[in-house]
Amino acid sequence: MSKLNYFFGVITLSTLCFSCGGANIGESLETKTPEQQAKEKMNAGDYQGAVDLLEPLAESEPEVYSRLPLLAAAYLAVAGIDLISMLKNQLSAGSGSSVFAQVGSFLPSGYNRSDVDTVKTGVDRLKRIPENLRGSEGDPEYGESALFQLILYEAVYSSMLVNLFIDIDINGDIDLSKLEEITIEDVRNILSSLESAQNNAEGSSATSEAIGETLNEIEATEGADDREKLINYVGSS
Amino acid sequence: MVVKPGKIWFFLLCLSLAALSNNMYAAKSNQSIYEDPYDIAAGGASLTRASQEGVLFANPALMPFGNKFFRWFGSQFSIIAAKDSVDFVRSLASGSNTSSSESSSEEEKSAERDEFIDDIFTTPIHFGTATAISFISSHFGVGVVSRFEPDIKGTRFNDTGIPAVRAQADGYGAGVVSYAQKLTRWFSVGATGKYIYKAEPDIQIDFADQSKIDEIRSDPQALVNEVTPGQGFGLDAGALIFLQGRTVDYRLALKADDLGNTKFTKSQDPFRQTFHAGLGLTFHNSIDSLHLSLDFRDVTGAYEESIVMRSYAGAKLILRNYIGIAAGFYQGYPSYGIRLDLVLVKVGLTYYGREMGSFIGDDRRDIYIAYFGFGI
Repeated sequence: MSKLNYFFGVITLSTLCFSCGGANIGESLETKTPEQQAKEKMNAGDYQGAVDLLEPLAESEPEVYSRLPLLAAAYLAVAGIDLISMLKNQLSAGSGSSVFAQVGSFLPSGYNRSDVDTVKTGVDRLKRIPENLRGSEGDPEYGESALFQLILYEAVYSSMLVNLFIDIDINGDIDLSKLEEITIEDVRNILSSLESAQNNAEGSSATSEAIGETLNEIEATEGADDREKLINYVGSS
Repeated sequence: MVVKPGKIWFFLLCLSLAALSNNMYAAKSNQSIYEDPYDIAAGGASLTRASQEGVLFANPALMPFGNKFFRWFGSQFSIIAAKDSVDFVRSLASGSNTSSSESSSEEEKSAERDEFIDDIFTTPIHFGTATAISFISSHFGVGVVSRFEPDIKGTRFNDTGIPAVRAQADGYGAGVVSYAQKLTRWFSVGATGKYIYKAEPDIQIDFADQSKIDEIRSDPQALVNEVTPGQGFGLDAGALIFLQGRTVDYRLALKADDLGNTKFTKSQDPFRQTFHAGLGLTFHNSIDSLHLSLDFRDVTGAYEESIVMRSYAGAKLILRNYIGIAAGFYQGYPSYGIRLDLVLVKVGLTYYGREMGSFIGDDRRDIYIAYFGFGI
């Protein structure tokens, strides 16, 4: 009987030791969808990995819209946009004025043109989702998230682009010579992106009004064309 | 540009984001609404061998196989907590709440807010209690159980790429009556009738809604107010083939849960009819035994879960009839525990891993259960 007890002990201890290993033994047996793999990568901080995984699928299966909000979020994360940091800044914020100022306070420091283009790519991926599938009346799984991200990312894109041309001198004033480098095409992109965000935010009156107010203020600013108006508006802020 | 953020349109935009539905595992699926902690330690494979009131839920056909007419009469109380939530549970018990402390300066308030937000997204809150009172004989059993197990956790990127805070709970109360009969020396059948009071709140709180998150974290019981609990009657049926040898026993169990679906009032989702199969192998002498078991639940895939999520396997080693050691794999995650069966008192500790996300490896909890039973 002692041999039997020994056998019992070995089997139970083996199971115990094996089970103390930690990971799920079935994880390797599971076939994860690309979206699940991408989500895992993103939560592990590998944002580029998520983009590399989803972007080819977005190209090869353009009719599968459900993965586009996740892909857009991955692009924004690659550009250094962190919604949770944005939330923290938002809650710590005081009073403010324009959309550029509000969003500007959330932006990462030291971003470059390439990061702005990455955000634009994220916006473009969201725009591939048909309008009727976005929002609360759209797809029940991703519709609301898609619209939320689209409004936010369009505002983020505009603000990032504007902020590329803003340098603060040692007196705390805006360096106007840097602002003069902004091209008419950049201005068009900034304004059209804001207008699009305003239109998409029609269901949220506070958001739509806030963006509309900034657009109206730019329009009311003196200047021969949109470029001059934007430069004067930003310069006077 | 002078950066003075503040018109809270972004905040309002966040608040306009309604709850998004995702297929997660927390609500009742192939698992029973009540499992004995020692059975959980053995990987939750309880179709061929279950402990105390666990028999009524695992497989009533187990009742006729035993040496005694009276098998158990008593109660058991369990405290459940995830590893990360121990500090939180301690603060609840002491009545303190870190998020409500007063701070003098704006900087301190801001730092506290940041800490609060970080905490939501890094530290899950998962804890609860379970209580059972039961009487079980070789043919008849009756029991009352209750379990409330909330889970609150933030995710930086949910299935659609945005942050989300999810608050959910398994909340059940049940009264069960079981009857079982041996049809031959090696074959038994049993049935359990059950009345279930069910509340499975599952809400997604906007990540910007700090007051709501704070409210739920301070009083998780308030989660139940988010749903209207439903009531329903259901029926389970089980069968067991038990081939007993001098030192080795073989067991095969088949079970059907929620025959014809258990429907609930107040528009609560029904419990779907599921079929389970289990295999058991027991090595024993007169006072020691080792039971190895494997359960495959929801054979027909009514809940559309993966094979891993339907699989339970484990070992129970009983030494001198009063020391129990168990280990296994609960839906693929490791589990283990120990139990002492003293004359009138039973105490034990169980650890197991549980998936709370939408796929294996997505959002794991490491859960500990301490339990205390009193009975004969």
